[in-house]
Amino acid sequence: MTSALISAIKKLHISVVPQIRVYSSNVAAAATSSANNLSITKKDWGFQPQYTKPREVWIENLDTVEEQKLGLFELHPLVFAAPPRIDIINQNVVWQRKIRFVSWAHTKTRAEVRGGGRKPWPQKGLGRARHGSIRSPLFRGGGIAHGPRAGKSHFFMLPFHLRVHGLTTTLSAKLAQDDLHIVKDLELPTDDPEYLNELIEKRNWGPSVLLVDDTDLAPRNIIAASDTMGHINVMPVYGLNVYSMLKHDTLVLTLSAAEKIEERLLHWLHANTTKEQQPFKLSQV
Amino acid sequence: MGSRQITEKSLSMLRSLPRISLGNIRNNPKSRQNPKRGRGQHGGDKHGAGNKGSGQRQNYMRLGYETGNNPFYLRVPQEHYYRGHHLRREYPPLSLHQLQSIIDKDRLDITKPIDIASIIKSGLYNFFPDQKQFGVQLTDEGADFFAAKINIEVQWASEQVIAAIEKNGGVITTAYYDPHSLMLLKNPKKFFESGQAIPRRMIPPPDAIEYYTSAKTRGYLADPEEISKERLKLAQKYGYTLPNIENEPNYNMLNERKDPRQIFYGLEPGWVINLKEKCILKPKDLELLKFYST
Amino acid sequence: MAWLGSTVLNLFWKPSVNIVRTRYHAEKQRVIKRYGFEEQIWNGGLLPRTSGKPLPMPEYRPANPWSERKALFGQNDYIDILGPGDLHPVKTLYTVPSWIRGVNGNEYQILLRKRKMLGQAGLRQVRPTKWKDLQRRISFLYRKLNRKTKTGPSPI
Repeated sequence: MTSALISAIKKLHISVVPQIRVYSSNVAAAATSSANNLSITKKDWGFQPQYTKPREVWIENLDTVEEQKLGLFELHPLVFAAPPRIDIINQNVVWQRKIRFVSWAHTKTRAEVRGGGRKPWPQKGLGRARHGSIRSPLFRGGGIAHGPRAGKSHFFMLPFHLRVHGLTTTLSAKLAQDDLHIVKDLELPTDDPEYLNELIEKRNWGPSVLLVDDTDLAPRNIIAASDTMGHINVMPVYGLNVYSMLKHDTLVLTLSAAEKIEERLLHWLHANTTKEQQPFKLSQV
Repeated sequence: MGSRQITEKSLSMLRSLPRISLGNIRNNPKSRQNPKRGRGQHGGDKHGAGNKGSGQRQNYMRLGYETGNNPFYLRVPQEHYYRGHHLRREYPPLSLHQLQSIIDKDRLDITKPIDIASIIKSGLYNFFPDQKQFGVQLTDEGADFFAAKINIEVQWASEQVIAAIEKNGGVITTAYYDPHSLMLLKNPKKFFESGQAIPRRMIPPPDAIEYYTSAKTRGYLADPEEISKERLKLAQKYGYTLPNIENEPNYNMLNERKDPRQIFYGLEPGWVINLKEKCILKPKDLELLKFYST
Repeated sequence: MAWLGSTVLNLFWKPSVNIVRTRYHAEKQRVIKRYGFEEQIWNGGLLPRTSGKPLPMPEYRPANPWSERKALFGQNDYIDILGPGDLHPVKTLYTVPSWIRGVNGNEYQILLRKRKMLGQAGLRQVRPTKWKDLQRRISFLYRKLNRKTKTGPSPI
C-alpha cells in the first residue's frame, strides 16, 4: 500500500523550482516601461543564507494605478522562505486570542444571593422537606452551584521561538502564495479612497490589505484614503503580528519595513535567547 | 531539508493551494489530548481517590500529626544552631578558580579595577541583596593556579586569597556596601532609568567596622601605610617575594580606589545619569554639595 | 418462422398503455379513532397575530468584521521581537483590567491578586458589599482547597 503510494507520488513529478521570482498579475505591461532603470539590490546580510538562495521580489510603486516595477529586491530565505508549518501558525493565532481573553461569565453563589438567612420552615412537624435557606441551589431564585465565576483568565505565553517562527512561517507562506508585496514607500498622489480602491482592484490584491511601514507616522494621503475603509489598514513594523497577516488577504511592506523585519528576525534567530526562553514571570515585564 | 528540499517543495505546493487564512489553519492532529474521566461499568468507580478513609473523603490530617502520638517534631528537643541566622550577613562565595575562568573567557576587563558591578556584568555570578546577601566572598579554591594581576574589590576575603592575589602583583580591597548600594551595583541601568540621584554609600554596621578598618583584611577604611606593612608581612609568612607595584606600567589602575562614600567607579554621589540624552547632571546647590560630600 | 412474425409485429405495432388510477387518497375511508374525544390543544399551526406586542425577535444587525477593534486585533503582540526590545506584549494589553493582566491561575489565586491590588485602590470603601463577597469567597475557597481537596501538582 505504502509503496504504491510512494510510486504514485514519484510519478507525479513535483517539480521543484526555487521561487526566485515572484510574478505579479500584469508583468508584461509593466516590465517594458521601466526595463531600463531597474534597481537590483544585492544584499549583504550579517547572517548569510547557507543552503538556500535568497528570494527575489519586485519593488512596486503606489503612485500610479498601473503597476510599475522599480527594481528587484532580495529577501533572506531564513525569514521569507521558512518551512510553512501550519501548526505553528495555528498555535500563534490561538495564543494571540487567548492572551487577552478573560471570561466574564458570572453566577452568584448561595452566599451572594440576597437574603436567605432565615430557616424557611421548621425542621420537623410540617411534613415538608427540610431546608435551611431559600437561596439554596435547589430553590428557584437560589444560588448557582459550580457556576462560572467572573475573571477566568486564559493567559499563557507561547515559547519565544515558537513566536519567532510564527512570524517567519507566516511571512513565508504569504510570499509563497503571492500575497506579499514590497513597495518603495507609501506615498500616494491623492487622498481619494477611490484611487486606492482602484489600485487594489487593478493589481488583484485581495480586498483587504495590510500596509506596513517602518515609521510611526505614515504619509497623510494613505491614512486619509484608507480611513473610511476598515479593511485597509496601516501598521508600524513593531505592530506586525500573525493574526493580522492572516486576517488581511494581502500584506504590503515598504522597503525599509521589510529590511527592519528581516533584521529583527535574523537577530533573534541567531541571538543567545536564554533570557527570553525562561518561563514567564509577571515581574519581568 | 538538504537534498530532499522539503521546504522548497512545500512552498511550491502552497502556491497552488487556497490562501492561508484564519479559517483554514489547524494544529497537528492529536497534538492536544483532553483529560478524560473514566466511564463505563468500573471506569468511574473511585476517580483515583482510593477506597475509604481520608484519601476518599479528603479530610486529611495536618502535616506531622501522628494520630495522637507525641509527634516527631515535638519529641526531639530543639537545638539552636542557627538561632538568628536570618539576621546575619551572608557573603555568597566566588572561588579564585571561577574568577580565573571568568577572566580567561574574557568576560571581565582586567585593565580596569574590578568591583562587584563588573563581576555581575560578566553574567557568570549572581547574588540577591534582598536576601541579606552583602556581596561577594572570594574563596581560596584554585589559589595555586590563579595567575591574573588585578585590582579587585570584594566584600569578604580570607588570608590565602589575599596572598594569592598579591603574589601575582595584584591589589585586593574589602569594602562594605549597604543593601541599597548593592541593588544599584547589581542593576545600574534600572537605577539610572529611574532618574534618581546616586546616593551615598552607607558606613558599615558596628559589628563589621572592625573587619573593614583592619589592614590585615585589606579593609577599605584601613590606613594605607598599615596595609603596605601587612602586604610585606603576608609575603614573608607565605614565602613569596612581593612584586613592586610602583614600577608597574599600570600603576595608576592598581592604585585606584573608591571613596568610602562612592558606589560606582567614576561617578560621585549626588550625580544624576541621564541615559536618554547621554549626559550627567551634577548638583550645584551648596546645600546638596555639602550633603553629598559628608 | 415464429420469431420473424413477432419481430415484425413488435416493429409496427405497439400496445397503447392507458394508466388508470383506481384509488385516490381523498377517497380513502378514514378510520375513526378516539370517538368522542375532543382535542384541547390547538394543532392548526401558528395563531394569527393581529393585536398586542409582537414577539421580541431581535433586530438583525450584521456585525462589522472590520471594525477598528477587529481589524487591528493582535497589534503589538510581537513587540518584544520586532520592537526595540524594551516592551513586553503583556504591557500592551490595555483592554484587560490590570489585576488580571498577564495572570493565569485558579479562582483562588486570581481572587487573592484581585484583593491585593483592588484593596489598595479603595474597593473596600467604594464597594463594601463587593468587598465583603470577595472576602467570603476567598475564605470559602481557602477552606475548600486546603481541607477538602488533594494538593495538585506544583504549577512550576
